[in-house]
Amino acid sequence: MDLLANVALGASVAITPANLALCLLGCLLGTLIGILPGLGPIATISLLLPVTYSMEPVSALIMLAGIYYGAQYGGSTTAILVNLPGEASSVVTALDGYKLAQKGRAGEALFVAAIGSFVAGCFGTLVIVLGGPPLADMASRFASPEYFSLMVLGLFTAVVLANGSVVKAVAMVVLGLFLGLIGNDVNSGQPRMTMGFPELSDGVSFVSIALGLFGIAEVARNLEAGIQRGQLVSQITSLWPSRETLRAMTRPVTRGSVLGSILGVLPGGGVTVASFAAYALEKRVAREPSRFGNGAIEGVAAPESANNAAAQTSFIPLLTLGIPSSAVMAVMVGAMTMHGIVPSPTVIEKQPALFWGLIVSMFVGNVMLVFINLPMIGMWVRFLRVPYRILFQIILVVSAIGVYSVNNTTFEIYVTAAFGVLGYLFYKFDCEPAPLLLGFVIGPLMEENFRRALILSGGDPTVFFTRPISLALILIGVALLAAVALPAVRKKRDEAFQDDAS
Amino acid sequence: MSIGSHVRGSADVGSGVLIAAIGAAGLWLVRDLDAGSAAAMGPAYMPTALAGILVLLGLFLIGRGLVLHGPAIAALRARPIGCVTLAFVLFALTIERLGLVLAVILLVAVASLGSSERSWRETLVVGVALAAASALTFVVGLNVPVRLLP
Repeated sequence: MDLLANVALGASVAITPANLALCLLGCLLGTLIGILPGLGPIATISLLLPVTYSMEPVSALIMLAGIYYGAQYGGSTTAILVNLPGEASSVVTALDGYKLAQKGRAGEALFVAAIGSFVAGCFGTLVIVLGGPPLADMASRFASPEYFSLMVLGLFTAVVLANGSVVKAVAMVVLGLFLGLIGNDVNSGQPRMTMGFPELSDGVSFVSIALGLFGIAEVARNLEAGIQRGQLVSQITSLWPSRETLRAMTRPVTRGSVLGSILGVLPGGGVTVASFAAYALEKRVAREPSRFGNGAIEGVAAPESANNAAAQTSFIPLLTLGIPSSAVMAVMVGAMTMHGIVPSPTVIEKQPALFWGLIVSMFVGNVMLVFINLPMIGMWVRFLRVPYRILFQIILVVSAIGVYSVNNTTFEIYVTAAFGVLGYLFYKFDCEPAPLLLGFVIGPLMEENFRRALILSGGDPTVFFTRPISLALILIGVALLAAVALPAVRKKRDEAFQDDAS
Repeated sequence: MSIGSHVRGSADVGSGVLIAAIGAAGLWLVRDLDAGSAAAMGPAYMPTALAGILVLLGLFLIGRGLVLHGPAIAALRARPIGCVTLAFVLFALTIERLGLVLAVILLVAVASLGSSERSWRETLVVGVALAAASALTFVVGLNVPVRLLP
């Protein structure tokens, strides 16, 4: 069978000593940053991009992917033990997880979070295996008008699923698209908006933007607010859950896995939206909704499953359509292009070893993560005692040297500092920067396909509306955008984010 | 901050000013480039279109903030962001002249001024430890071509 041959190929790539070691390293790093509040996967992966330069492309992707899904495991530990979200996707886990820990059931909550994450992670990866190749096959028949419309749909969806004001989310996307155009024009070779800096002729460096907006700005915010120190529940009793707990977690994990897998594929959806939605769903289907917030095991099982499923399936648009669906996936585009791989629907067909190797490594990584997170929990708890006043210095020093090492120029450091200030202002103005990063990566792709489509049509813009697939994609996008403008839908959308106060 | 007191939605106005200013700067930067036509786009076509949209969105946000009640800008504290930015700029100025070790120590020292909990002893220890660790990791381990000392 084809599938078995592909999985065997993937296994031959992923299960080598070097790639197993890098997968483990990625999972360990992911767990670590997941546990530490104030350090997220976007900044970490951007920071490690230059380091992976000398690696094989597939090895680099295996490690970087491990950081992302590993962070989803680690985030729950902090949420349960300290009542702080280690990651944004664990905000809701803290609601019931910490209550369980206070009742002396910390071990059980950690077990449920880890096993739920594992089941969902494997489920999400299976969705990529089954859904990826057919989707890529379909997308490989797209021409530039369809591509452009698909990107429009993707950006519209990202706006709909972004937190807060719709107009600001649109502005952030457009600003990202605009910044993506800085640098020499591909067709004419003329420098655009480089302000006379030769360093900008290849565009603003992705690492500088990502680290500025998500690393530096974040540090400044945390220093300003002061990272709260929650009360650490030190007593972790038996990790083994009772039979009732096992029975109680089955359905929430299943629902969380399915819901998370769906939301992970949507542009701008991703892990945080998935965990919020899963929590809301559990509360709705529960017989006694009042138990939530007071230590309901479902309140840990469902969101932790959902964010892991979403972390896996968010790779689908990137690997099958060549379009990133979230800020983290935009960073992965940066990683792929740095290694000379252009994300496109042909990646699966032309680089089967890369695709299937990455997929198999995800299964392997999820197994590793269960062991990293459950038996070794005591070690991770110790990292929670590192005070932020030391942690932020480490983040700044590694960022500064990392940015410098991209091209060995100090120019990048100034750019990073500038985007740090910009990111800080955005935060103060209630603008979420994640859509900006997405727009930044999609900008050049979108311009290219827009140009090509209009050259083909002789400058006739109706080309996007006369081709059936293109028209359908645009109509779906417009319908989505119109839907959030409706007051009833808006209210639901705001409710879904209401707990996201952190 | 005083801007918050008279305006109904100061976060909207602030973001609007910022976004419109970036759009206007973009329009100014591409003023000499050829825009071309839809069938044969010049280098300025897309940037002009996007920068124009940014200006419009910015103006819309300013208008919305002036007319409707909206979120206010949370209190700005210049010290943390100022110190972190200054630390980065000083690092960029010094790394090639004074070498990695001193640049890292300087970065840590200036950045610590942005934190509300700080002690000179600890800052010095952290700075020296991070300088040593980064020299080992980046220069010795990863071969980043930069001098260590002046």
